[in-house]
Amino acid sequence: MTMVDAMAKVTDDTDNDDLVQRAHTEADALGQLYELYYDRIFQFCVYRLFNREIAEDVTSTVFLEVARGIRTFAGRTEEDFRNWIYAIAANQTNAFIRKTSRRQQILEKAISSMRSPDKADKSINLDWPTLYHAILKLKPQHQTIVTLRFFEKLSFEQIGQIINAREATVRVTLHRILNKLRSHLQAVFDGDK
Amino acid sequence: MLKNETDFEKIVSRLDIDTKPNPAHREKLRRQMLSAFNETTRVKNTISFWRTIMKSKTAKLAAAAVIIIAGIAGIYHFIKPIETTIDELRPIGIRKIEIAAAKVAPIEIKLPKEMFVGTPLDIRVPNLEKPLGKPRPPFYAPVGTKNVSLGKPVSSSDKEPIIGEIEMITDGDKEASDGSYVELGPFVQHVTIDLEATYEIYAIVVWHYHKQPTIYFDVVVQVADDADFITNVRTLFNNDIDNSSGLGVGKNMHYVETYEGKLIDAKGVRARYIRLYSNGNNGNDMNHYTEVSVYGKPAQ
Repeated sequence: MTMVDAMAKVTDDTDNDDLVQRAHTEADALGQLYELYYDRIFQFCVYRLFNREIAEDVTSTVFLEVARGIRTFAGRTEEDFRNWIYAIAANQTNAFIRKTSRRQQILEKAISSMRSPDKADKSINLDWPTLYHAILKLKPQHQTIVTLRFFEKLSFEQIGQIINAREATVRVTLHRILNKLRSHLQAVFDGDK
Repeated sequence: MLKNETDFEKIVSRLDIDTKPNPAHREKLRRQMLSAFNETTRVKNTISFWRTIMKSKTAKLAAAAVIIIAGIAGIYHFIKPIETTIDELRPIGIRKIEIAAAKVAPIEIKLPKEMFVGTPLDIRVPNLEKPLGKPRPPFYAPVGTKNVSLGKPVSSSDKEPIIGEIEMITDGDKEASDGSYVELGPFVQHVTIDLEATYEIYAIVVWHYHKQPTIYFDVVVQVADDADFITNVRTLFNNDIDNSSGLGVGKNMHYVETYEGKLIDAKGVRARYIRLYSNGNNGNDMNHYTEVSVYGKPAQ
């Protein structure tokens, strides 16, 4: 990053911080924040739920909750806002998965709508539907961590801020999650034999 | 197979998932969101009006006087006939009128050794209840009420506790020493006790970990008629003030763990299964249980 790029980023960050502060009271500022975050939150919901219609419903719930809570939201910076809105999105998607009896339907739709990955790379003998089956066996909170880490590509520190855990805890938890995924997958492969 | 994070990243990078938003939904939601925001503005303005009125000291005093007088008149009207009977008791588990009529006695709670005295000043947790500053008063329940969870089977959301065994939760050992508690993993975890029959439950006493003054977050206690908590689920305690556990917003307060445990008034609810949730504590992200005692009588 050049010096000019770095300075431009600092200016953008400051502008967005100002936007967050104004959004506490100004509808226009909240509308601009909405434009900044709609795509990201919708994308997060699609990754978590793998169904566009349901993802739209949950995205709506997230932004309506933001609209009702922004006045009492204590954050001042865009980073605070990002952590807050992702935390709401994570809670809402987890609540949906926990409460719905249609979880199995979501899974079936997701798997049928997905292309299998290119099998050219023989070093990884695993397709996505099998992996997704295994992910759905994880606890909702663990599924959130997988999405934030591998789909949203957030750092351990950022994930920790969103789910209100320490960075080290996220690291250890992800390690445990991968171990669990491995054992779920091993059971599938053993069953196939 | 899946060896490490890199393998996972490779698989994810080759997925073709359509995440392009629908412009119609985007526009509709924008309108709904701004409408919801403007709605909160109207509510706020209404509240501001009342705040303006109540700025006057005279108005505040007058309102307080009216409330106190109305309260005293109401209490006098409703409990005058039995006031001498109930004043000597501290009814918690059952209604005041029932205490006057039924045979009740304090439940016997065998307490462990006290590990610290008072509450440290540097604990900064929102919605924290003040310590009582004296031993907990006796808890009255119908005669015959006893610990019905002792030795009963327990299951947990964390199948592989980091420290201890799940069975320790109902083994009767409430001491804070190492070897007396079970440590479950981070984030929301729960334990479920099967009383093996339906009981009238009057109190649930929980000791998470009382070696140090610790505060556990999102403590939720529920009872139900089935082990999966689908049928007739009732929430007896919930201090998850921001609904971070997804079980609903709770109105109970955070509290500091002590040797007395947290006593939850179950008001004679009938149930077979008890489930307790928590979501880390103010010291670390882990969840702990030393003992859970359920006081009740067989349901008639």
